[in-house]
Amino acid sequence: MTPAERNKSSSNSAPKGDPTVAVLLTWILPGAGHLYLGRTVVGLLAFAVLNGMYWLGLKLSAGMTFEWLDPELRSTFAVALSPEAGNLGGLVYQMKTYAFGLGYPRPFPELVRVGSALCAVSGMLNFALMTHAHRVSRVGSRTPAWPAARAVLLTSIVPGLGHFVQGRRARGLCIAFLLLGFFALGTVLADFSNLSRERHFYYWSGQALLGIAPLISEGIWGAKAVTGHLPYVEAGLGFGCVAGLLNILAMIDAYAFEADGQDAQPARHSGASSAGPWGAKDEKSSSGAPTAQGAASEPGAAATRSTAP
Amino acid sequence: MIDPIRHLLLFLVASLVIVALGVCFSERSDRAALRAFPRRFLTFVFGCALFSGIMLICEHTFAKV
Repeated sequence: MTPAERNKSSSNSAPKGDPTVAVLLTWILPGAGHLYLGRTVVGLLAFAVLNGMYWLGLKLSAGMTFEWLDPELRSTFAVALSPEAGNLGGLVYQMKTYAFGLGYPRPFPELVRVGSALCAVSGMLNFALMTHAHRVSRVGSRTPAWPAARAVLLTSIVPGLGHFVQGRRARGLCIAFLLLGFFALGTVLADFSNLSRERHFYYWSGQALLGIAPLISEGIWGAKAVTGHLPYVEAGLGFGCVAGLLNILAMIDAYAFEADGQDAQPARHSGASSAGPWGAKDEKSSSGAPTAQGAASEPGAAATRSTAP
Repeated sequence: MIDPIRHLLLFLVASLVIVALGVCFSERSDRAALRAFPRRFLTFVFGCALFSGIMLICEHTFAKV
């Protein structure tokens, strides 16, 4: 390879764009961050799928999802705590077009729950897309960005699944057991009333971060009537919501494991074998004292990490 | 009347899940996470107990005035 070809190849694989800009663009409009990074096909595909999903959700629900909010809770930023906020463009469109309804009660469409769930899922999937955009802008095409985004995506669908696929099976099973068990306990305590978005709009938003489990449960038991006094309903609502929020920690853990492992790869390939999947940081936990041996002894590794913002 | 024992058990279950996820997040290796868990769990429980105690004292001191 001539020096000119080497330079061209190097510039093609180098990271492009600012990660923060890429993430913000993706948040505002799914796919825009990838277009900014020069990933045209992924950008257009993501735009079509995620916005198509949001649009279909709006059509099925007639844009009435936010009419479930109590009148005293309705304000400009009240919907910012819903999963739809993950797709900001879709959310703004919904608020501009439908907002909180016409101001008087009217019947909900038959598929309002499905439509509402589709809009929410579009927002949550956009978080995984933001992860991918962030990773692409950090590593360019030098390293595949998909594994880190996949880890987040799988964990957002089923808690612990991303860890399981990464080979951290004990941790994945532990996370799945704890979070799904916590959600199940909360559901029993609340006598399934937590599953209805119409009844508990904000608690539903929290537990929706658990992925597919609350959505399936809502499809089966979401319309169950409350027939008596529920002494532990507050605990049940809190448990379900906290389980979903804790899944964010699991997602970050899955992302960091994959990203740090990739960043440390040049060091491992060159014989700095003490760096584990967490790279040079592993040395801190194994020896009890932080060392910079992995980074200092390997210029490639240092160069790789210097691309991080 | 809410059963205090059941209330306490629910609190311990919630603490277990919160601390376990926190440990998974902060510790990279499973072994280090397992080692750190008991201490953090006790710290969390005693911290919450202390906070509850302070809140009860405040309630009895100020809420009756």
